[in-house]
Amino acid sequence: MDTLLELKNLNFSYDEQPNALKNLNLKIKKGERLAVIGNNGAGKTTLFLCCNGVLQHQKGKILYEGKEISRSRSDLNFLRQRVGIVFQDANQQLIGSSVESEISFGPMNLRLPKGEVRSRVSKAMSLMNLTELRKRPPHYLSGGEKKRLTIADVLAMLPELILFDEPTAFLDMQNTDMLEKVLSDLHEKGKTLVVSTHDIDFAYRWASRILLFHKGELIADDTPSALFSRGELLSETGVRRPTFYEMGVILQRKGLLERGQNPRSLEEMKRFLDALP
Amino acid sequence: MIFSLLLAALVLFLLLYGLWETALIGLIIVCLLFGALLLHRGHFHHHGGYISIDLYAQKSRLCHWHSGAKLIFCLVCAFISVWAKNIYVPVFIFCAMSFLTLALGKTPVSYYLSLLTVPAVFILLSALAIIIEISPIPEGVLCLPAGSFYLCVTKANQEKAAGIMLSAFGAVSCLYMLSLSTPIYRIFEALRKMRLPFVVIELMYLIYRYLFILLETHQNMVYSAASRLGYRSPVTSLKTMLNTSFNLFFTSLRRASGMYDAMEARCYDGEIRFLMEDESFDMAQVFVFLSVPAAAVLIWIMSRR
Repeated sequence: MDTLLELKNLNFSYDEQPNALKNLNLKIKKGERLAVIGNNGAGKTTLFLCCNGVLQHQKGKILYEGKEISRSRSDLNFLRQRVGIVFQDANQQLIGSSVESEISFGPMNLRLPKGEVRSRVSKAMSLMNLTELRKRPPHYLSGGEKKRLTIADVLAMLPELILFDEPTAFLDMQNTDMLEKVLSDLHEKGKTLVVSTHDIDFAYRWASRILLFHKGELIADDTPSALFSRGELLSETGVRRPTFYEMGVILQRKGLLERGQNPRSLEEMKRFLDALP
Repeated sequence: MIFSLLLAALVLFLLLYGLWETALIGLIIVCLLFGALLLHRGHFHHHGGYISIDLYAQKSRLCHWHSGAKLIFCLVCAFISVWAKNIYVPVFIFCAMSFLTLALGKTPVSYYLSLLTVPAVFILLSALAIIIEISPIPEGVLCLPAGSFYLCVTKANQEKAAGIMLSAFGAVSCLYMLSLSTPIYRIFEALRKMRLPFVVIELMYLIYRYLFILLETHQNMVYSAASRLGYRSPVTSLKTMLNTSFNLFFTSLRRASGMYDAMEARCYDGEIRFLMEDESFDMAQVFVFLSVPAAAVLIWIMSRR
C-alpha cells in the first residue's frame, strides 16, 4: 500500500503546554481506517492540526506521498487540499451564511473556476443529504445537520485523507448511526479516514488500526485485537476494553470460540455463534 | 411592548390635538387594537429578533433580486424620505416599502411589526421631546401647568414632530426592506462590486460572524449562571454580570482563534470568498426600482404647489 502521510520525529509544544506531541513517528497508508484514542489532552487534536499544517511543528518532518512539506504557502495549500479536518465543534468550523456558500468556502480558496466550484458544492450537498437545506443559514441547522455540513465542507475540497476530530461528541444516537454509515461510505469511495474518539466500542468495530496516545506520545500503534490484548498498557493509560472484545475472551475461555475469533460487533458475534455445532 | 403602545398613543394624541379631535378617539382605539394584535401574535423570538433577520431574508421572495440595485434603490428612497421635508413623501415611501416587503417579499406581518417596534420606540420618544415645549407662559393648543412652568404643545411643534417622525419611519422602512430581502453576504458582495476596499468588507463580514459567536457564548454563560442562582438578588446579578462580561472576552477570544484554525484548515489565505448564486434582473425589478423613487419625487413636486 502507498503511504499517504508520514510524520517523522515530529515535536510540537504550545507556549502553555510543552511537549504536546513528542517524537512522533507515524505512517498513514492509503485506504486505512485509523482510530486515534487517548485521554483528554493526550494530543489528538494537536496531531490533527499538525497533519494539516495549521499548527507548525517545531521539530521533525511531514511528508505527503514522499514529498516533504515545507512552510511555504504553496506547500501548505498542497497539504491542506489533500488532508481535510472535520472539527469537533461544528460551530467552530462554520463561517458561511448559507449552506451553499459555507461549502463553497474551501473550493473558492483553491481558486477553482466558478463552474467547477458549483458542481463540487452540489455534489457534496447531495452526498451529505443537504440539497434541500441549501439556502438555510448554518446557525439554524440542527446538530446532526451541522455535522453533515462540516463533512460536506471538507468533501468539496476532494481530500484523499480526512481527519475527524471526535465526530460523535455532540451527536445523538440516530446521528451517531448516520455518521458511522457516512464513514463506511466514504471508505468505500476510497478515502483514507482517521477518527479520534472516546467511543472504544466504535473504535474496535470500525478501525483497521488503532493509535493510542498518552501525554503527547504515541505509545501504541497496532491492530485492534492486538492492542486490546496488552492489559498492562491499557491499565496504565486508563483505557477500558471494548465490550465485544471482553465477551470474545470469555467465550474463548469457555471453549465456545477459537483463538483468533474476535467478534467486533453484534453481527459478527451472531455469525460466530451460529456457526457453532 | 405595552410601553411602546402607550407611547404611540400618547404621541398620536399630542400630534393630533386641536387638529382632528373627532377622529382622535377612533385613531387611538385602532392603535390599541393593533397593539393587542401584536401582543398576541408578534413577539420577539427568544434569541433576539434581529438575529433571525437573515433567516427571513433568505426566505424572502425578493431574495433573488439584484442586490446591488436593491441597495442603491433603498438608499435613494431613504434619502428622498429624509430630504423631502414634508409628510406625504415619507408616508408614500413607507407604504411602498411595506408593500414590497410584505406583499411581494412575503415576510410575515407579525415579524415585520415586531421589528418595527424597536426603532419606533426611539422615534416616538424623540417626537415626544419635540412636541412638548417648556415655556414660562401658557401658549399653543394644549397647556399643562408644571410648577412655575407650562408644558405646551404648539401647532408649529406638532408639524415639526410629525415631519421628523414620518421621515424617520420612511427611512427605517427602506432599510428593513433591504435587510428583510437581502442576506448579509449578498450586501457584502454588492459592496465589493461597488469597489469598496476589500479590507472593509472582510472586517464587516468577520465582525458579523463573531457577533453570533459572542451572542451565543454570552447566552450560554447567562444560562449557566442562572442555573446556579447567579441572578437571585440585584447584588449577585451585578457580580455575575461583571464576571460573565470578563469571561466573555476570553472565551470569545479562544473561540475566535479556534475558528481561525478551522478557516486555515480550508486554505484561508486572508481573503474570504464564497460562491455567489447568480442574481436575476428582470423588467419587474426595473419597474419597481424606477417607479417608486419617481412617484415619490412626483408627490413631492405636487405637494409643494
